[in-house]
Amino acid sequence: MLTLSIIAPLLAVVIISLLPSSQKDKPNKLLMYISMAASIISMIASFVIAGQFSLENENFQLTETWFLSSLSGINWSFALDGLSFGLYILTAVLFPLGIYYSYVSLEIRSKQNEKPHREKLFWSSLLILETSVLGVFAAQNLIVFYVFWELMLVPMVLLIGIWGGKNRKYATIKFFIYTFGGSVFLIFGIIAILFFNTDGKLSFDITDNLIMSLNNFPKHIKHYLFWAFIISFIIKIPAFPVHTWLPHAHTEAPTVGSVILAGVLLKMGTYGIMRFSLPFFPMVSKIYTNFFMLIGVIGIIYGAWLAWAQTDVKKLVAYSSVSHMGYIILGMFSGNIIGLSGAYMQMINHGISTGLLFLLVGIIYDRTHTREIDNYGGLAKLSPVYAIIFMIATLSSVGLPGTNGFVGEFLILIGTFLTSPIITVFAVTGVIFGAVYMLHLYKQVFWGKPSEALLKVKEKISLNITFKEAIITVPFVIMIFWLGIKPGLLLDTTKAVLQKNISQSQNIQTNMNIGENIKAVDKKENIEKSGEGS
Amino acid sequence: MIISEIPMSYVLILTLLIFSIGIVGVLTRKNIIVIFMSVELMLNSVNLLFVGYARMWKNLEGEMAVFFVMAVAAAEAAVGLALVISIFRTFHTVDITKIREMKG
Amino acid sequence: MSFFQVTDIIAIFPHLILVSGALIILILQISLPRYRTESAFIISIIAVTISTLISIFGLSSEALVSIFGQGASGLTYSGFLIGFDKLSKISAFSGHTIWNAYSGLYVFGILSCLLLTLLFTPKILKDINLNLSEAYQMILYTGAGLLFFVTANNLIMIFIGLELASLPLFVLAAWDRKNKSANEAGMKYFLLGVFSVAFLLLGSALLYGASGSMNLLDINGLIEGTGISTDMKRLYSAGLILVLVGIGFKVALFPFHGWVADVYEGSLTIVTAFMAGLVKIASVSVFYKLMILLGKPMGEPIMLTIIILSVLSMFYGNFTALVQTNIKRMFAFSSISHAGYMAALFVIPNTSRTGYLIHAEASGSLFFYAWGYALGSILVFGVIAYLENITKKNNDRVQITFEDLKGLSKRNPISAFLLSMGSLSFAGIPPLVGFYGKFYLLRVLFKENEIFLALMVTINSLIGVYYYARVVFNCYWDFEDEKSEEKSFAFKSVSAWISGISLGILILIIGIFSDFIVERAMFASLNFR
Repeated sequence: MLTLSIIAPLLAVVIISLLPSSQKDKPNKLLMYISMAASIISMIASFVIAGQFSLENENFQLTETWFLSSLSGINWSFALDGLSFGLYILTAVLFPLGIYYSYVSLEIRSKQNEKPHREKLFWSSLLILETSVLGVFAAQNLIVFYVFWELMLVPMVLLIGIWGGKNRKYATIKFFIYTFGGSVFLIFGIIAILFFNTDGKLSFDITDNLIMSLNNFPKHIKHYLFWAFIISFIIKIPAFPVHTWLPHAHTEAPTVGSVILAGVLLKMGTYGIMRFSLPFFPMVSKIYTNFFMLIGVIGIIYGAWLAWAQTDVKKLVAYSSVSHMGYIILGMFSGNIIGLSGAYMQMINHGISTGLLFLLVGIIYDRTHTREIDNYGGLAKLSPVYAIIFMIATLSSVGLPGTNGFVGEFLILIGTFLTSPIITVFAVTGVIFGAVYMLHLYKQVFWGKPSEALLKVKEKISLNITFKEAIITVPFVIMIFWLGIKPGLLLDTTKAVLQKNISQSQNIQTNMNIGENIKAVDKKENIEKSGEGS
Repeated sequence: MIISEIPMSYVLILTLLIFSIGIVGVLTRKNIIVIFMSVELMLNSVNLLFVGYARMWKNLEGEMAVFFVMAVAAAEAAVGLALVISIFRTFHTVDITKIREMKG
Repeated sequence: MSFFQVTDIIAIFPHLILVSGALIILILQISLPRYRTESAFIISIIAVTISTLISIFGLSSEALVSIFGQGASGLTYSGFLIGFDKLSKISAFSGHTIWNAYSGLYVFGILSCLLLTLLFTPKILKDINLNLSEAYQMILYTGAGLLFFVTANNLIMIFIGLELASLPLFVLAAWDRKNKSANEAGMKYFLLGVFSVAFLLLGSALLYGASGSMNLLDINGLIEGTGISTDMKRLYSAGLILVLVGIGFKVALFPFHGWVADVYEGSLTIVTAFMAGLVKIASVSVFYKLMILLGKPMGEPIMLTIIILSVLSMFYGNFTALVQTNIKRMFAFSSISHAGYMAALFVIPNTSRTGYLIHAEASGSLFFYAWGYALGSILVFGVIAYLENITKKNNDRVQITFEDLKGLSKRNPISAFLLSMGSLSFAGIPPLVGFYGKFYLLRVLFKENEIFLALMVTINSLIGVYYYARVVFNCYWDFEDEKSEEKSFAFKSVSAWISGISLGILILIIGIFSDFIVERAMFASLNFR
């Protein structure tokens, strides 16, 4: 089932590439049906998996093994555990929505005499993107993880580079260089694991054995490896000093690209930290905890300030992403189960709420072709349903109690407080800033008198949201409230594995400490003996 | 002086001398045919060395090699001269410095 | 005592099939009144297919007996898939040619590449009105020569094999005989090829002088046994270095790379595929074999030299490839850097600290890298050859530049896809074969503690990504929209379709099945002698 859901989009790509390409003014329905069918198949398959998923099991489950390779250690097998389960389902749900939205968007654009543009490649890229993201979350082997991690680059570069906005060339190159540069460190780190491993039989499978043998490495090596892994991940998140690719990529990407980027691609970075950096190198990450918490807090406040200063709606949402990802970093490095599960919750939340925000911005952009906040105003009167949905998304993003955003942020802040109260004080200010810029945006766009630009657009095309578009947003809204009211649903899936990881890390730490104490005692005895001798 | 009294080092030095003349010819001459002759000189100097060593080790492998080298050199000459003719047809010259169609 | 024994024939069975295919073409050409060039293609395809099948599946002893009679009883010809675990070895022509698992491995590599390249050929030659049956003869002779080259166990056989492979290639390089740059390329290839062979020959003579034999195994036995006497040691080192220089020309290592760019650019592109794919895989194999069998007395300084040459090749190839505008030149320079990556493995057998097994691993990863590289370059150059024929106007040869690639995915989607795939495989993007090749290579280097080399390989792969990605970007990115020219379908010929698609599939999947291939290659290299 797992393999089916990963491979189904890829099969659809094969079918699509065999179809003859036709240049028409209208979007090709057949292509949409094929891609929808593939993504819905993988969604249904993922629901079947969800039914089989056991909450008590803390290890990988539902394993499906394909190609075993004892020589290279690259075993092609897929499995899920508590860490990847929620993200996997989120991905599988998000893609059909994104794909359907793209079709609706193409329809609306074709009404305004915009010809669809290289459709076959477009649908193929989306589907390959789905495969790669699902593969990243289901990979049970470091190299397989890396394969899908890199595969993600190709469709994303195409999506931004071909169907992007005006500055797409710059944005694409920046995106490519940042992420590829990061992943080179990752592959070097992965292969270096082989080198320092002494028993010579290590495979790249992510198992407890791997974690144990990693902890026997020399100390400085562990530091290097930790950085090799984490550089790649914090670029993808993106955390504060390396976040600059994100606003450009988000702004220039087509709407579906932004939705996927915010919804699941950024989570690959945080997922990587939770899956690899923290359990693999518990000692080292303990040392750098304060550093990363600082990065997180800077990200929160800096992202919020920049978001407030933006005049472009999409850029504002993009910078709000930087701010939200700061919370996730805080939660992950807090090192206790409350913070970690908060971070996990926030990963899903951010995917839902920011994904919805980008989707909504895209919906209106299809009609107005402008993203400047100044061109908007009074949209609530022209498009009331749209205004309501946008309000829900805004409140979820701000973290109003009752929506999902609140639960995540609250857990993170509690978790952080247990570790580092001072940093929490600064982090809390981010909540206020978040409310400020989001509500400011809402006020500017929706309230007041309808602006001239909007009225002009209204003469050509109805600003009111269509039924099809409304349908797409419904699942998001449901998820926002459902997770807001019943967060246990999500937290239960990940509790077991988080507890296991934390206790494992503590074990390793105590073992290390005991080991060092023994060494120290030995040394002392030696010195004493030599002292006696002389 | 009887031939068996010639020390091996003489043969080696003579070979290297002729071989170096060949290298210098390849590197300095401009006419393709002369360059080609220099290459042949290099090959034949090696033949001399083969024969010398065959005598030193008292086995036939070296002498056998000479025949192969000669045969291959003949084949090389056939291909090489054909190429020279083809070059002359297209470029109307056999000066290697003037045959410069590509750059980069 | 007869001149030939059955074992001799069996050891060179695939070679003989290729040569006899060429001879049949020759005879038919003279004798048939209504002879057509297509039959030359068909005959050569049949010959290459049969020998490829033999190299894959091998010949059991029953089959050999039914072909050669009772003289062949007790012998088996092991193929890549069947019989590699039997450690069989056929020594022929009093030890001049040896068929063992190691050479069998490269026989398989060469023949598979030959088959795939040959499938590309006819349509390309037809488009420039030079589809003569001699071309197929030359291709078959080249293939046979390369097989003799890799199965050689004697310095003279190495020389003859190399020449048998090179001479037809000189002709093929200048095959487009009315074209100036093709002629120039042929001439340059010829002069430098012959020049390098002279070094190889001088080196063999010196080795013969130092050891008294030209049989590689005999020399190896001497080294392992009594050792080279001290007064001969210098002679021996000089000889081996000269031999390696001669082969280094064919591998296109850094200081011997001078011919690569011009020859690759000027020759017909399909011939470039032969040079880049087949000649490289064969010469790499022989280089490595010489390092293992003869390299032991060479000592640390010479290993250091090879390391330096390897690193310089990587940097030189990459940095010059960065600034090229012509695609063929770019791939030519990048082939120098790939030679550098492979040369990083040449030092392993003699500097190894962990013993025999790592040598097997190095050899296995070398085969995998070389084979993957050869497949990639055949695909890339084959596609470029078709693109040249599509873009050419009024019968002049054109060179494809990056400008020409713009919007290719619209005009010619299949070509764009295959070209991008080849480039990405070269760049080492997973899960293509190039990634797995680099992975195994780095793994060996890491295991051997060659951190410096590993770091250099990584840095250079990173540089390489830039220009390989440029190919992909140019194919798929149309900065100036709506330059839509008429659509063209990629290959226009069934055989080229077969080859293109199968190359694409191979590049995509053999990485995943690399375990199988590398294991066999490792096993083969344990069976060296």
